[in-house]
Amino acid sequence: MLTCLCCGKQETEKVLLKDIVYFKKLVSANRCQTCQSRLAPLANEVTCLGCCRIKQDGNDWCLDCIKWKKTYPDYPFSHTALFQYNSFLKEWLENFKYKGDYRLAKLFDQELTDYFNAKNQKNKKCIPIPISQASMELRGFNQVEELLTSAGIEFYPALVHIGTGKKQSSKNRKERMESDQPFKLDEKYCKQLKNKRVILIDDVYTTGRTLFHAAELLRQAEATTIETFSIAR
Amino acid sequence: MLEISGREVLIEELTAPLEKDSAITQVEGFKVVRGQLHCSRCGTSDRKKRQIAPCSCGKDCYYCVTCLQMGKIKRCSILYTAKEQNHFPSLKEPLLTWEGELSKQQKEASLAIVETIKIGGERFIWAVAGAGKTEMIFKGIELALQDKKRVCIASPRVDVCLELAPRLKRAFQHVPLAVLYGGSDEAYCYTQLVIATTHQLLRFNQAFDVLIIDEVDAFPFNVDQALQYVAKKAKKQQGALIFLSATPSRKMQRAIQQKKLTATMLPARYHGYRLPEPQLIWCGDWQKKIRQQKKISVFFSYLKKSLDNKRRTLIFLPNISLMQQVARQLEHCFPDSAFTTVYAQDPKRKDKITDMRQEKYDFLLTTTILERGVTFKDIDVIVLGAEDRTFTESALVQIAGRAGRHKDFPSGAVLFFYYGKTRALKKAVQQIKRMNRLAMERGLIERC
Repeated sequence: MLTCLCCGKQETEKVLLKDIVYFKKLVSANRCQTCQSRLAPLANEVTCLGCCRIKQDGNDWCLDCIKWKKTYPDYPFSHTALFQYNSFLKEWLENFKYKGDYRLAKLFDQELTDYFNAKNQKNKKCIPIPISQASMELRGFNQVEELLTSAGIEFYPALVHIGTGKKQSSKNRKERMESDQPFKLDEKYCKQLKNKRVILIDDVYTTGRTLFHAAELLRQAEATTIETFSIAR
Repeated sequence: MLEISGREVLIEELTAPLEKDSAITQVEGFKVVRGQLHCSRCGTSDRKKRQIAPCSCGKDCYYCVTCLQMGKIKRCSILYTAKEQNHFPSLKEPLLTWEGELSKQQKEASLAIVETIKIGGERFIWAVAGAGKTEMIFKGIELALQDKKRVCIASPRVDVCLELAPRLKRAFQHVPLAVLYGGSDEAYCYTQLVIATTHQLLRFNQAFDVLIIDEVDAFPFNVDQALQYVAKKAKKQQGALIFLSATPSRKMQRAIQQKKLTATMLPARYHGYRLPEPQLIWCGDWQKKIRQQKKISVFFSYLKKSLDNKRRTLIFLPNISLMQQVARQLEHCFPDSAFTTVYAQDPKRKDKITDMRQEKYDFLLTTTILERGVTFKDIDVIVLGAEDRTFTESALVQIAGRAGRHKDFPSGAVLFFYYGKTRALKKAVQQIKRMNRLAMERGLIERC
């Protein structure tokens, strides 16, 4: 019997004969069939090479990424997102971040472990995007760090938030794009990052502004490769 | 100060900063009652409903999961509350600007309500759908307002609250009224007369002298322990609590039978015609037919006939996916008729219901969300798959109660298409027949 983390519905889990015969490891899900079906995974979609958005036209790169390429000509674009940002993920973020339901950090445990424990992800340093002091006080936790902790992934909080605390989500697109660098590198981690492969992690990629700000700092710290990752795109 | 009079709120829920006042009490987020830890706001004491989480206050903080949707109550939270003083401006007479006339049974119920408001205590008004429940509480409200009592009319359903609000505004034109529900644009303001969803009662503490709960048996109030606690908390200890419903739960019916709960029965509609009794029609394994893409012949032929007669119909289905499958078939078979589907999460739900009222559709497919609180003028009702467990006794009685509500169109067909009779189905029909019989005995139905 599982109780869905999102909607609280109770459901019996189905074990297939196939799973028993092949000795498949039984993992208990934490969301019900209905909520599962509302998720739109990006893994099997044709997406923009830069930001993992579902392709809207014939081009390999979406318009946003073409613009970013002008701003950051020598940045290797490599973003991975797990799911399309839809009404379901919007609700999840609303409840997790703004209503502060800490239980929801567990929702993507399985997906995160699968992604970060894969062979090609070893030896990469995970760096979560920090949140402002004001949000921290209100929320009591950094949602990205909690997602990683819950999934049992080691991370390095190498970035510090020094911005005004005005949330990206409360701005319109123009204001978002014009926002100043809100982060600073933590001196302690500066040396550790040199010549290392890093992966920046955020909960949602909207315009890309936040992640590009963070990536800029990591390039100053001379990381060899910089990748970015988000749950939603 | 007035803003928190009779309330129990977090600092961030206030519109204006609090002034220092000795009358304001601070309550911690959780308190110990009889050795058990309770959420101060919703009264939940279940340990599983307390989630430990990191917090800016320190390490061992937890929050209440039960009432999280209404704002987080943490161990370190502080709720502000002040005693209800009943300081209301004097109101312009006459208070009651409604000029309708009550029927015989409405008058009796109205008197009973006035009585309860005077002496306090609980009362259940068991009135069939379309009995005119709203009108008979007017007199009681008027009296309470004159006595400087604070009055709240609450319902578990937003739709019900939103439909009540304009009617009450019309009946008490000079009385300021606050309508509270989740997602409302209006900020809270201190008024003597309040309409609120039962969830909003969470933010009140010993505020109301009179609390009237409409549709008590509706979800989620019927299953949510916290909401029932909250309703008791929102009213003053010696205040009056009045329940209104057409379909009390089995538990309440028992309490009424055992005379633990005083009840007033209203078995007839305000217009004095009988309640339409449901016709039961066996339709075979209709879900199988849908799977095989075949027509459910009885249902389709009935619908065709009623479309030819220019009757408009509400069609209830057990769930969304079945509704959509049936809709696809209907689209195919009746390409000329205008219809649509509506369900709880439908973004255009409000518009579609208004359109149906304006007779823009020939029929409307719906899930149980339209079972109560909505009135269409001249309508037939069909339930397809009445054996499904979503159709409980009270759901079926409510659905049947959608038909024939208007005095110019007092009759309407009610059809239950079923595949296997359930207890709920039988009980629902029994209940409707019993009400008609009761009304007949009391001489409330003059016209047949």
